[in-house]
Amino acid sequence: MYDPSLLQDFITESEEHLEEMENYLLRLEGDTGNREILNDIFRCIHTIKGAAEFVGLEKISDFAHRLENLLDILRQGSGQLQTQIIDLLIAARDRLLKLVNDLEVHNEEQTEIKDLLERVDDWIGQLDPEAAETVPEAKAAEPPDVSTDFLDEEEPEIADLTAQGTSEDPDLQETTAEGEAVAGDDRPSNGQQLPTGKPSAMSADHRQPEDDPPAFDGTIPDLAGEEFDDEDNDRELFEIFLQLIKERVEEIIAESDELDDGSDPVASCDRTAESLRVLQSSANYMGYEKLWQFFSVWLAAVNDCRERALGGAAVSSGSMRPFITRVVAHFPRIHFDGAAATAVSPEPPDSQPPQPPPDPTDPAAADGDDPAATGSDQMLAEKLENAFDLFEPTAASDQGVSLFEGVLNTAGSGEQTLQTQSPPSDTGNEQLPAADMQIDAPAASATTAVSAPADEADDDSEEGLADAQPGETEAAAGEKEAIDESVELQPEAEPDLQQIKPGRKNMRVDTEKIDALMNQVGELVVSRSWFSQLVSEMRGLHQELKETTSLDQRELKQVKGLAMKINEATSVLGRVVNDLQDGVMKIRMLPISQLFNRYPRLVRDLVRNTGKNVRLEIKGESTELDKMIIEQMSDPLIHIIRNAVDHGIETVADRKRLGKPEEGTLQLVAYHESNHVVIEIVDDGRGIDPELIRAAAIRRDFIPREDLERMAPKELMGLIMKPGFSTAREVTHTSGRGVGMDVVKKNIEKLNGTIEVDSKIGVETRLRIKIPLTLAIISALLVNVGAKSFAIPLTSVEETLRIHRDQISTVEGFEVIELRNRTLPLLQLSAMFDIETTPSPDQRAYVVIVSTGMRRVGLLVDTLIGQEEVVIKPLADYIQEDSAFSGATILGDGKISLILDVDGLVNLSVRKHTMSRAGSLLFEAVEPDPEPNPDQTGPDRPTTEMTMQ
Amino acid sequence: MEQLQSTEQDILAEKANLMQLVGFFIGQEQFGVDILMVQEIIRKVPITSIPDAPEFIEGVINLRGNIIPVIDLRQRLNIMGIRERKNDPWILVLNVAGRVTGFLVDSVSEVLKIPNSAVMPPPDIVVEGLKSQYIMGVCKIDKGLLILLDFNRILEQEEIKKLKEIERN
Repeated sequence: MYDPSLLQDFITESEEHLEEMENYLLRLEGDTGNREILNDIFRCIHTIKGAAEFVGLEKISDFAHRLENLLDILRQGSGQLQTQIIDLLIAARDRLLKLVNDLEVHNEEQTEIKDLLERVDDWIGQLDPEAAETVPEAKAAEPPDVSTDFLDEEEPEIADLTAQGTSEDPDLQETTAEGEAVAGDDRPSNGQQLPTGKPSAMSADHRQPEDDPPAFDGTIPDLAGEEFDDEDNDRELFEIFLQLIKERVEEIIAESDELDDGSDPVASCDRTAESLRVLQSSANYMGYEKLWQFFSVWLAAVNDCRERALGGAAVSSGSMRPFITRVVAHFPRIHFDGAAATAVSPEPPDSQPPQPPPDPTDPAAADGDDPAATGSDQMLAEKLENAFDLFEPTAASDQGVSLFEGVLNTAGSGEQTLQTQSPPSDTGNEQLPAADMQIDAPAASATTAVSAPADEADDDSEEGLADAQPGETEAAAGEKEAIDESVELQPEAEPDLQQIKPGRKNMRVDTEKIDALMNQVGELVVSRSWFSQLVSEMRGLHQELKETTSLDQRELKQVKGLAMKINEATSVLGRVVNDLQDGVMKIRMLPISQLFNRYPRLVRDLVRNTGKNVRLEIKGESTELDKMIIEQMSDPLIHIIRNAVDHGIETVADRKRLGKPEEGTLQLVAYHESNHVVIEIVDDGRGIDPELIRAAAIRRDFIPREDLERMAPKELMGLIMKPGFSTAREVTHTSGRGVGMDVVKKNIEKLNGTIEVDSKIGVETRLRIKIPLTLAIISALLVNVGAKSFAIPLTSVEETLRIHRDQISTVEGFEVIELRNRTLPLLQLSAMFDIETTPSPDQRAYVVIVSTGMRRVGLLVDTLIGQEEVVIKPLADYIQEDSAFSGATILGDGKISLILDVDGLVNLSVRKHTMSRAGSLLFEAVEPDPEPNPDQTGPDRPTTEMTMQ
Repeated sequence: MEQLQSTEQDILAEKANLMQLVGFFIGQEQFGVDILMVQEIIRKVPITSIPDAPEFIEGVINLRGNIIPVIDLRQRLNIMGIRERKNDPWILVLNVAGRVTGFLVDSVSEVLKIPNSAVMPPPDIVVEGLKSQYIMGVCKIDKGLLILLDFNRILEQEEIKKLKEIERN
């Protein structure tokens, strides 16, 4: 039933909104009385609903709809919200997310929502007693039904319903909720038109069902469509038609005033009815079906009114006003006398073109002679007015917003109309011009959005428009203040709008496109150096000409001038290329808030029912880093935060006892440090006791005792990230740290990052994660072996040594050196890679000690070139797979340097040496070496130079 | 005018029926590859060898910022009669189903236009030790037999992996 092409957009956008909603919910939890936040949440839900309807997703839209109802009741109330409600809302958010995920995975909404729907309904029921009496009463129940019916184009029913509504049908009032549910049920069937129509229709539903106008409004825009088609009709005819409308409507206005005077209601009604009949027939003549429909409904209402008047009840013009308002608004070109007085609510100029073709019919005027005004009418009118009043202040920010969306959409679809539209004449709406102008700009863009999905169903979209219309009335009331906001909050269902939303300037781009761009920039960089080369060739040529030919100075000068010009152009090119390169790199960067914002919820969930109180502080959330890294940091951080909350921070009682503030603090801090981003996770909990780690390590016989004795506290901390250590019960039990920390470490190392732990017992624990800005660039140590150069990722380099070849001994066919009384296996890169080298005359060589995971090994190289930032480029899969290389990089001179993968290298050496048992043992033996604390490995590690005899 | 039109028609007809191939040599053998696959033809590019890679992988080159593998076609196809490779080989850069790969050949000859109908299925007999699975077809030209290679097959992942393993053991 849904449109698959829109699904992906829907998914991403909904996820965003749900994320946003989560943030709001968490804030709401801390500030339960804040209606603003409720409004924000409402907006999220509303947008999701609109989008879901747009795409045709029944469950989500239905669910969202109910939530809206609930939220609506909530925000009308006052005081604190109950935690259960917030819990319910959070659960609902999660369920929505699940539904969205369903879509992503299965392409359909699978998750059940019944239970939550019931809970939501329960709450609505509980909270609604007032709503059931006051709110729905304030709203005559008909509009929802009418509007939906209009969607279905069931005219007779409309009339019925309207009549019922006016006659204050008790059923309808009681069952506003039901009515809405009905509306909800109808929705799916309406599929595409809904996005435009529904938001406003919706709001009409539960906000102010009092006004029939929505229904009629609905008709009018359709009319707009019709007029458009008839544009080539006789202009004169149209003018006559307009004139007729003016006269008749003015009469009706006068009648309704009279009705209020109450002298002879039945007569008034009759006269009104007569006028309406005339209008109806001329509309028919003109072929304006919707207008005809509108008048028919109106007529029904009038007749109903008359019945009541006949029955002796008091009647007011209340039921007429909305019609008048509508019609007045619909023909902004016409100056209706008395309209201003009549208009119950301000109306925005509707987006109909006032160019309907003329009508020569000049039906006679009608004289009513019936009594009018029943008590019920009066009540209705009052309610109407109340509702509008209500609406203006409260809904300004919010309701107005959603309604305004409707307006925008409508305006969008009817864009052409909008443009041709003459400025609103005094239709009694002071707000009109303002609203109008606001609509104009977004309208254009909205057009694309709306027309795209609706293009095959032109008629349908017109219908949708019609439904959107009702929103306009209300929107006008609320939107003045809300305009700015609403523009920003434009329906997000339409991806096309993304770019023009002033509030959000993001756009989604396929990463492949960025990568392609990146490559192009790379080529540009190469071209630039080509140009530089040309410059020097040109200079050479100049020199040569000067020396070898007999050209005179003037001729030579031209050559020289040209060379200079090329040089200039080249340096300009160079600057631009540099900027471009930077710019493209930045495209991939996202603020880390995208990562951090996921955690407030985590902390909340962790803290719940634990007797702890934790405040999450986030700093530096605008720090940017590569999106890929953001994604891959998510899980490690979850782990770390869980540890901090579960084990680090004490319970409120404990903290009190210790004289700490009751509320524990967990800080997430991010900042740049040269080419890296540092993320720190700091908690002010109990800290880690290195002695406990030491004790545990001894107990588990993890590391030789004497080594442990030697280790500094910081090194001991590093132990918690050792694989065997992490699961040690004793540690988790006492200091609480370490579960799965090895996994965290591994993940971070995968990103070429490092992690350090620091802790002061009883004060804080600080984890410091340092990761490169982007995955594409790493710091590497460049080394030479023979004529070839290799890059070793600095994160795996522990130290470098300079040794004498005599120091190398052989154990079981493996070369080793003794380093600080330990045996370190050596790999001669030249031998492994069959590279010819000429040993340096002084028999010295360099050893780069590398470690990864559990292996530690020295690489014998000829020379160290230095540290450099290199761009990693992948090798063809069949080369890289199972090799000693993790990629390659292009050096400044254009040469390729292979990036060593230390793990792969060790594997390779094992393979090459028809591996003996002892040999493999040798490698394994390295594992538990705690000596080089990997946490301290970093690009800034000092290089030790050892000279031995 | 008429003449012009007829030329155009000829061209169209030709396009429909003719294959355009880039011809190249390995040893004495002449091969062809669809011109649409050929991204460029380069010479004198420093090739960085990959230690421990299968022998037929000559190395990688820096092609305007992209690192692309270079395969020695002679080794890959196991073509017999390996006379010493020429000092200054050509690299035929092909786009094989999105994988840009360089192939080392002895020389590149010319662009050949061959009617589709002239292409025959690969013969059963093995040409110079070249297995027929890499051959898409053959066709007779003035100077002998032109072999159309199936580069997709040549770059087949599984096979390359196996070759890699065999070589290691």
